[in-house]
Amino acid sequence: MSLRSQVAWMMRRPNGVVGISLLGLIIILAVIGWLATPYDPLMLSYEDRLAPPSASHWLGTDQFGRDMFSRLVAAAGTSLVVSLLTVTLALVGGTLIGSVSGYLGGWVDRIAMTVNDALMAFPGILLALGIMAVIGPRRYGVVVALGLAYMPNVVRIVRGVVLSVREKEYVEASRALGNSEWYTVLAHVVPGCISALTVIGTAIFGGALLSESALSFLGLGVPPPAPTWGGLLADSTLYMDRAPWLSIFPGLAISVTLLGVNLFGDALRDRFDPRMSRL
Amino acid sequence: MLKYITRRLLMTIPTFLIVALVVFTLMRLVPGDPAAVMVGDLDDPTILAQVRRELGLEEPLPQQFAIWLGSVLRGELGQSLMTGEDVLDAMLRRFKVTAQIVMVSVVLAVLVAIPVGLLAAWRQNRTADVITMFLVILAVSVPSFWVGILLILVFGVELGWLPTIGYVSIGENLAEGARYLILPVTALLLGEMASLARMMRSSTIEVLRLEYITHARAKGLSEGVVLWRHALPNAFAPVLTVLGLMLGSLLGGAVVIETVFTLPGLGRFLVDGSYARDYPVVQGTLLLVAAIYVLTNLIVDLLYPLFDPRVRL
Repeated sequence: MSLRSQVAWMMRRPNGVVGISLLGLIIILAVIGWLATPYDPLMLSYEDRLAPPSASHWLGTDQFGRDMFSRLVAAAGTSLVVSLLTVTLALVGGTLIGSVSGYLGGWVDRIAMTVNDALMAFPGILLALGIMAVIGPRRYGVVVALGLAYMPNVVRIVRGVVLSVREKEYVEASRALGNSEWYTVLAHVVPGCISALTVIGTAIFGGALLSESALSFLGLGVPPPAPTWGGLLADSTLYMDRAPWLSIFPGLAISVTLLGVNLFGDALRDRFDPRMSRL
Repeated sequence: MLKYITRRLLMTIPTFLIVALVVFTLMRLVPGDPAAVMVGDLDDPTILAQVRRELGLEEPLPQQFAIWLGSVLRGELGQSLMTGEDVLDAMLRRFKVTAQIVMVSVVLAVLVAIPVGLLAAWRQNRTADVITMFLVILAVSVPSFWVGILLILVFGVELGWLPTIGYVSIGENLAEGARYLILPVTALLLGEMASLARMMRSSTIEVLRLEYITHARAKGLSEGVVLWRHALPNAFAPVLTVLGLMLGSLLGGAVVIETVFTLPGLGRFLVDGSYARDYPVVQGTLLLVAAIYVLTNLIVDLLYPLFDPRVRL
């Protein structure tokens, strides 16, 4: 199915439409925030501390007089990029391990799956927290920690698909033509996983966004002064009695993005798993 | 049956070993001398030398792991660098707080999600179902720590109805303990309850399509009996597995929620330990939480045949 008809299909589902719109909105905000914000998100302004929402500061200011709207929009970029890199790491690593393990089979597969199942026995955010505790708060540390935490899920799914695909005639045909094992796996086996990868990639994106916010909220994610939604929420808790708006908008931003991801993911699942669409 | 139980029990051994190996590796990735990492910024060379001997740092790495594993299995997890307390004692004390929140959350989530999922499936694609599913996707999308902050804002700061900080043991004072639990449990529970209800719904819809349900209806049984006595038992089994996994996300969620509500639980211990680079604490809590999680999933798997009448091993 071509990309255009895929998009057309998505747009016929109410979930897909709303999901794509919400995500589009956040992405546009993030891009705008990357180009320019009304104020410098890091600029301190002593006289404007904890100002309520107004015409000059749409969403108010924080305890250092920094403009909340600018910080929120700048944080969108951070959160989206970190989540996107996490998904990429988990998908690439997971596909490599899963396809090699499933394709080779035998003892390689057995060892890889034992290790993988054991890693899945570890709650993802705790593994990430442990890694962050060791390496300290770092922007790309979060990506590595969360990417590793989500990788076992990808490995398991890709391996399952590869096991069913590798016996197909077209894979055998590729081998019969004298193509190398690597070429066969990459050109004929991995493409069979694309639909499964899209579904799990969307799920991981949502999970990564939530976990990154949680880690940053705990002060173990992307380090300050770079604004993140989780970090903005954490700062706000000290001023809840005087500046409640600081606690509302970052959480709203996380929720809207996750809602978009979840709705989009639901529509995708309907698309690729027709059995589910009747549910 | 016995074969299934033995197999499942044996399977936990490599799981535990790999979990231990992951934690061991993490602790060795900490920059600096592993002995110094475990005793902190102590300048006493005799203690340092003693710890180095205990950790077997002169030996090759596999031996070091064996020595380390041995001390972990004996419950020797070292002292907290922050307080000097024995890590195992401190963890067990704090575990009571976390266990309380998580257990109450699991029970409430099941009590609400099962009937809601069952009813939504029964009214599939009708108004009640569509509204429920909308609320579910909303609840799944809202981060628990934000819910916690909003609850504090409304019930603590604005209305002043409920305490927002600290904790009273339910064992000591039931009414007061419950008051302290309401907000954290609500925040922790919402998303998990919603995804459990969604799971229950799709599992029930699959069951409702089967012929024995049509048969039960044809016999003239009421819809309530069909749902409760015929559909529920078969629909519940897959949900049971999710329940085991849910514990993992609840334990993870507890880490954040305990920070929001300043509860002296296991999660808060891990976070405090991470800030302070208190590695014995980080190591101990990671091991304990993973062990709890692995054990619960073991129990869930062992219980599975009891709940799924189709699995007779």
